[in-house]
Amino acid sequence: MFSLIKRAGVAAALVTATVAFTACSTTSSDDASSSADGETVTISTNLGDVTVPKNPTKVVVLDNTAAETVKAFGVTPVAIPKQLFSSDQLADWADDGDIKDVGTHSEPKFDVIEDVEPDLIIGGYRFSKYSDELQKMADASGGAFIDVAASDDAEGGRVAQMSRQTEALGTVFGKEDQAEEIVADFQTKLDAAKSAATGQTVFLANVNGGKIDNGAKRISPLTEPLDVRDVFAGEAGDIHQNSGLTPEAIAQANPEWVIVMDRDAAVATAGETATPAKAVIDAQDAFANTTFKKSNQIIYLDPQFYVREGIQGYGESYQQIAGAMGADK
Amino acid sequence: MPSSPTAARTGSTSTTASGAGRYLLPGIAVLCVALVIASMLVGEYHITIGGLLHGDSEMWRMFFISRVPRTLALIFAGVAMSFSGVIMQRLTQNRFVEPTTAGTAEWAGLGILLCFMYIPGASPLVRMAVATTMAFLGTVVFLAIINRVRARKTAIVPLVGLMLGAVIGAVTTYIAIEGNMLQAVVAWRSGGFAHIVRGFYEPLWAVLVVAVACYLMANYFTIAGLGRDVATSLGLDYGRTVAIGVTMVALASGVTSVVVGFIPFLGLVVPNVVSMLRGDDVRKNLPWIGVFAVVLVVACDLIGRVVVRPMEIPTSVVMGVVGATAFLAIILSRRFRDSL
Repeated sequence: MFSLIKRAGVAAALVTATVAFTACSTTSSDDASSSADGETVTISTNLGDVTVPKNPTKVVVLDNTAAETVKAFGVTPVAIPKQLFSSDQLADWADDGDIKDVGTHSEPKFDVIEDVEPDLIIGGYRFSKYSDELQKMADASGGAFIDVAASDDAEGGRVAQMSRQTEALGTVFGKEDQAEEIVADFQTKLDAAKSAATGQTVFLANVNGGKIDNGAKRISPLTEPLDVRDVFAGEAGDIHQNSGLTPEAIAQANPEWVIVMDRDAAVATAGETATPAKAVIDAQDAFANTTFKKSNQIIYLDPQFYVREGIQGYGESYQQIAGAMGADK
Repeated sequence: MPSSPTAARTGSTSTTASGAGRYLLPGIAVLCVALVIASMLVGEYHITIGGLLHGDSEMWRMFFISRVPRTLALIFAGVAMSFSGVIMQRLTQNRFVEPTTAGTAEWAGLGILLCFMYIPGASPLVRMAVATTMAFLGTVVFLAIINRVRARKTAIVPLVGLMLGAVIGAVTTYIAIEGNMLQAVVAWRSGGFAHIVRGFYEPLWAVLVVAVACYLMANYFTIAGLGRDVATSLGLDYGRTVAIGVTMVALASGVTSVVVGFIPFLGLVVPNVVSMLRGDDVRKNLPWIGVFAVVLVVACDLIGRVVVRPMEIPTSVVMGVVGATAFLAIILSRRFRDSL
């Protein structure tokens, strides 16, 4: 923790110094004139309208909810937090030696971002607490900083923000048509899930360190647009996330469906069994007589769900839910 | 040694229970039985005494899947941590040492993390072995360091332990961040009994071995507590006693860490309170230490189970609050003021 604070402090000091020496007049956040070469576009972000250079070449992607869309557009970033990104869908990036590693949100390496002199920093979500620093770094290199992350705090909720995020990125990278396709495809999957989910009761499980816990904090944004009822929502359920939940409490609540986020699998070494969570749940004697166990109504989300959380990951999960719950009818 | 009304004199007067002790100890025994029964009956699944008496098979099934294992786990963990505390306090001749203040638990934690990373498919038995080995190593390192510390009777010894534990904890956290395992470490470190059901608590039976061994070895630990020179002149093989003691502590805290995570302060508060009431005869105190530890750990667990139903507050959190308060009270009590 110390080193984090120290490093952030040093980074901030460096940035301040650089800004002070090179561009005393630069105070406004969306100063477009500094990126001299070429045109700019103005997009709306979670922090207001921002003018960004069109088709930026040196892009730093910090927001994992945007990463797969950026990849779909054929853009290769110059720096990413390699550990935070899905080791399946974004393996190319992680393996690419030319792409610098920014560390993680708990221990970011801001000097790496400064070194690449980015035209565009896509921040927000896990990095949202560093917005001020990132803005300063963008100013220093004459680029722009945007936060278009699909976070729960975004206007209209996470799912609504996903489409806006994709469209905004489409505008920045000149891929409006492709963005529209991604959004349309997502909408189809979401609609399918909506029509399959008709008032079922669910338990949103997080399997982590071999323990089954309430995973509502991470999964409820996914189920929020659907007509399903979380058996532990309300009362104490939504306040005391991750504090502990007994298998017998789950058996007593007797949900019809269980949607599992396999946190253990997301960090498991490649080549291992994909669903350690399945082994944990199958080993539970307490679940033997529950509805979900008897009719095998357990949905295991993509092991990478919790590091994807973008429009592609959510779309696939909706497809999965639609398939499982729809087949039930 | 300063004497206070509630504290019996150390050593020779161990059999003379003071006035408070005469009523307190049987009271604690009754409380222990009541709490164990309560632990069997409190929970989210619908189990009633009436239903059990009528032979409701579903209730009995869940009773044996969930309630009995949890209660046994609480008893075992309580005994393991408090007996470890007793052994370490005798071996270091310091009253503020126990597995969580000596860094032993942190070492066990590092072992578990390494296990998560390099043998992720490991069975609980393998994890236990790794955690126990690391705990053993950690305890040896701790003892080696404090052997060089002159001031045995001061708060310096546990401070050294806490510092050592903090270093190992930091190393663990660093490795966890590097390996993107922080979530798993946090989940495991928050000692709780929520996930304890049949099939998940069985390694804790190993604690019974430690408990029995501890009872058999008790007199040796009492003598070892007099210091190396005195113990040796009384004919004790000091080195071997220390080795056995360290092994037992490592086994107890290793197993407990794997199954339920850290439970702070238990091994510190319980032996001290019992010593205050009964003196320092380890053998005679052990049964009471066990009973008192069970009372404390079950009570904390029940509080955690009830206040945020249907969720739970981990036992370690409740124990942290209760234990820290008791720890301060002990430090500030007259009995130890001189030795600080």
